Amino acid sequence: MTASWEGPEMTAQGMDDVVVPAAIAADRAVPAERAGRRARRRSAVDSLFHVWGALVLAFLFTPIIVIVVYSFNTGRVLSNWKGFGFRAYVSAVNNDIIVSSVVTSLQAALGSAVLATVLGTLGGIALARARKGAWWALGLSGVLALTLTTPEIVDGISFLPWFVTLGVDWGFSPVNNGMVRLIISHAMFSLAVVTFIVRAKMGSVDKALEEAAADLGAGPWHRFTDVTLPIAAPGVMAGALMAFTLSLDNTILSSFVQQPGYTPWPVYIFAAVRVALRPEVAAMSTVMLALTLAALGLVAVVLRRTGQSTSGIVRTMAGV
Amino acid sequence: MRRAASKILGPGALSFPTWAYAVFFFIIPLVTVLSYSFGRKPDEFTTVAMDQLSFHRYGEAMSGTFMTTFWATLLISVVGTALCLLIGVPFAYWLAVKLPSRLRGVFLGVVMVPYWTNFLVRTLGWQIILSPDGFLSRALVGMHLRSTPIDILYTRSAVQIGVVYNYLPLMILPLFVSIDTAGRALREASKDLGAGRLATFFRVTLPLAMPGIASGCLLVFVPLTGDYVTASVLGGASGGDDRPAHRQPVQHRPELGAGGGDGRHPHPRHPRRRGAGGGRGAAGPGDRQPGDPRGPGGRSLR
Repeated sequence: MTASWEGPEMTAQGMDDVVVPAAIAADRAVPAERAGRRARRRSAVDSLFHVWGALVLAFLFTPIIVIVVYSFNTGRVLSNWKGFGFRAYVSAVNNDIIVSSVVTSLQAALGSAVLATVLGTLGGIALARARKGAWWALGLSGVLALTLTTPEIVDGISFLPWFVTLGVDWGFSPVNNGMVRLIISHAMFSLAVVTFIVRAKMGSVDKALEEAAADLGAGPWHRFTDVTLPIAAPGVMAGALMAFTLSLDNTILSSFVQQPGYTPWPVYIFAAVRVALRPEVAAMSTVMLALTLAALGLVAVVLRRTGQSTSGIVRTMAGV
Repeated sequence: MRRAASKILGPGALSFPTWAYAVFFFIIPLVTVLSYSFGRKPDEFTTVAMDQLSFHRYGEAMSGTFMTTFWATLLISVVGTALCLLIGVPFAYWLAVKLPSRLRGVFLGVVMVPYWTNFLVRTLGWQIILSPDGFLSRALVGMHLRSTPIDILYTRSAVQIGVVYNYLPLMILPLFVSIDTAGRALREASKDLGAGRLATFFRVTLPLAMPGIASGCLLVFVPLTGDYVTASVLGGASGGDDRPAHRQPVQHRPELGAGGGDGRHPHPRHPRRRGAGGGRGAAGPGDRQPGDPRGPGGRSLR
């Protein structure tokens, strides 16, 4: 299905440099002739797999490459290529609305990452140290899993009347501030991610370490700051960066809870789609993409340092 | 005494702030909205009245427009999940089995990149690719593979491509993890015991990958049902149910650009309704629109 319109893109992206694995050890017991036939068939199947892999990668990357390339479009309309240049970047940086929405996004991402990291670290350590079958631990895992599996649109519909109730009916004015709303709602879903990452990190560490610290005379506070936190640190850092990127990426929930003057970047793009897409949007998106990738690269490096396997890193970073 | 203190300050107490946050900012709002679904809307300016509780809102959600959009959402979600699975299984197998292990990490990292690119931005990429005056369309016409520009934007097919694309990494990652952890040893044992390649795949690899398939389907299906952004960017106003309104010629006027045609979005609340009706059946009662003045598009911008 995808092949027909992916075809032309393939060579342009250099996806054909997939390395074919070394010949797989031949089956010793089989006569040479049959083994040869089998090896040929095997390599045919293998190359089919390699083709499929290259096609899927091309499918995954085409739109991103298109956006990056079109961010250098000098025309007025994004999809209509006029020529190569940095005009879009210059005018994006000089566009107050774009800059303020990016700043809003970064502030909200930072705030919600801090909030989610503090709460999630406590939660993750608590869950890792819970007795088996403790009701509060099962309940907390369940509720947090529910926050991850609830469609965002449902969260958005729930949050808005709640903020109105809190801020207008009950007079709790901080939630009338757009930034506070963004931070609270984003922290709600990244909280679960941080908690689960920290729990996974703590779960593999022997509880005896903390008991040894207690035997050596460390009080609860020192045990926490000198033993527990350093153990959890890689998980905490990965979780914090995850929370940051999740918030930066959030569109649906943000568009429900946002207040005038506090429009985050993805919501701005969504609004811009309806008017007319200009290359500025692609330019700023390319900058944000570079930022996100840098943050995630950092997470991967941190996790790699702590000796996680490739599978483990993927699982941690995808929150699965 | 010491015992009691440690019990209070134990892990249970440590989890208190997390609990409090989850209850205050997730459970209470969710339950509140759930309870609103039994209320009614007394007049145009009051969002909800809880004086007469009934199931009428559910009846309304099960009828007419809401049901149409609900079925459209369900269809797109089911087909999208199935396509992700079909594309994802061979790809994850290739990644976990066919690639040499030193390349595996690199390619996994590469698959993560689209996953972490803002999904709106990726969708915009598709809008450029699929637009009738875009480079793909021109190339196809130029190579005489097509006589007319491609006319796929703002149709159900465009939405389907967009959602498959957007959620494919969410399918690939758990599939990869499950195939990878199942391990080479078991597959080789199966072959040593005389099973052919197909038999090994269907009787060893696939059953062992089942947890990954299940979690991949869940990870794709759930957000897909609530995704109105892809639908409104690639499908026009209401997610590509093929109503002629979406394909009015105004969208194809080049001076408005691919994303032009503001007229296709007459009502800012529309996509939200679709999502509310589609995502959870009756999670938000149809006639109650929280925070009416602000559409998801952020009016403050203009």
